[in-house]
Amino acid sequence: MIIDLTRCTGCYSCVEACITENISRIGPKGEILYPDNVVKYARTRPKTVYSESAMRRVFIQCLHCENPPCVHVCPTGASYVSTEGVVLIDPEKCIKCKLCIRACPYGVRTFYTGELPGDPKHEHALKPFIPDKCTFCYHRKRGDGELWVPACVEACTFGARLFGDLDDPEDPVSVLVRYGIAIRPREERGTKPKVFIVPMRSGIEVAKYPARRRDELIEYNTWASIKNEIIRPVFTAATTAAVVLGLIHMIRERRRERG
Amino acid sequence: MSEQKVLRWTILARITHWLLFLGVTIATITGLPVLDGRFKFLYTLIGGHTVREILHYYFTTIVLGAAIPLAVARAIEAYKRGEESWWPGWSDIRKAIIVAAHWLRLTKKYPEIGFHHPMEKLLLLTVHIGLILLGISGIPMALLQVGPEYHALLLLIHDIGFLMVIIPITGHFMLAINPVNWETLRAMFTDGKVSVEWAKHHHPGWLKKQQ
Repeated sequence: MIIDLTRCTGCYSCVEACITENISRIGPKGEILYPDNVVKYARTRPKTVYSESAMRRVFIQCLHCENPPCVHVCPTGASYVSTEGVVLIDPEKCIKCKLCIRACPYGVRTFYTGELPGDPKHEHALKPFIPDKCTFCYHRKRGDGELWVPACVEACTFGARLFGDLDDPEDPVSVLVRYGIAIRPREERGTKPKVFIVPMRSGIEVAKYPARRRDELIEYNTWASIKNEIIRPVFTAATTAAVVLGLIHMIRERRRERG
Repeated sequence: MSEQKVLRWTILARITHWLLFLGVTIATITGLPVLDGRFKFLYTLIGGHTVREILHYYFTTIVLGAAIPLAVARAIEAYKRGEESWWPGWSDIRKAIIVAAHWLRLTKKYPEIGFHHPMEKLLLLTVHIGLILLGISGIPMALLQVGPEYHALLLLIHDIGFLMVIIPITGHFMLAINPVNWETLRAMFTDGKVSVEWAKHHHPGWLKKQQ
């Protein structure tokens, strides 16, 4: 996805469309219900970034990173990357450990803990006590191999949001990325976002895109790698060895006692 | 004629042991799903998110925290009773190597076992270091709301601490359920006393000291 901030007028149609599509619910009498503080839970929400000479608007949302810390840290595989490269959450597998929320360098995941009456509009809609974030409106995928259109892209009348296939060199999104017009926010974080920004001339939207300070003593990706490649195998092997050796010892002691 | 018995586990030792057993068991059941998703069934079994957080963050902190003064009191008691130190020395490491070689049938030599088995001392030290690591990493994360810059490092320390606790404890559990050790297990559940015959067979060095 590309968010072209040179075209964005700040009408927030994208935010409203996202809330209507993913956050609001339908009540028993057909009424539309919203959670409290609804904009906080919108999957694309405005935020202002500053430099000494400029003040600009950006949209915080899941950047669907190619190297997503949220997926690496998830112990159950509830956070996963779909075949199309969309980062999704499987609520059935989620154990609400909130590691994904902590690991996201951009702080995009929300966690709704209040009452939420009514029924969700689709399987990927906001659910209480499940980490929530943009899914590129994955529920709109038709399964015919064609790209779908997310609600925010559909709602933007100024063409400030583009959704396309980065693997297709002819796709307008690929072209804008290839020519360096659309830029990854916070490239230095190394997570390789798949949401690109066309910034205004100062470029602070990219350089100052909201992200957690980079002062972790070790990064979540590093911890997740150590956990998955060392701690978990050692745990499995050592506890299994302890059980097996214990059983062998038991048998040998029994034989010895019988004479 | 009633069998002659000797006190192996004092009341303080038994209370400390079972408090640690309770804390470590609950901490393991509630923490394993986060370490390894294959144990997600435990998360379902304990009743989900809220129960898991209450048990893992608060219950285990209180129970294992309560075990600290008891463990200190137990150490003082052991010192006063003139019990063999549980702190492993070089002689224990040498003895542990001989025991391992004997187990692997590489030697017929077998050292005289005192109150503690030499390997038990090494594992006990590992468990205690692991518990300290779990405490110093877990409490800041769960209760002190430390900054995100420390969080991944604390998680790593917590994982290492868990390994240092769970591996020896799995071995300890396997030895406890071994029928040859049922007598000391029963003692841990009841009055703390084992028969002189059992002590002579399993801990002759300790029995000699007692007599």
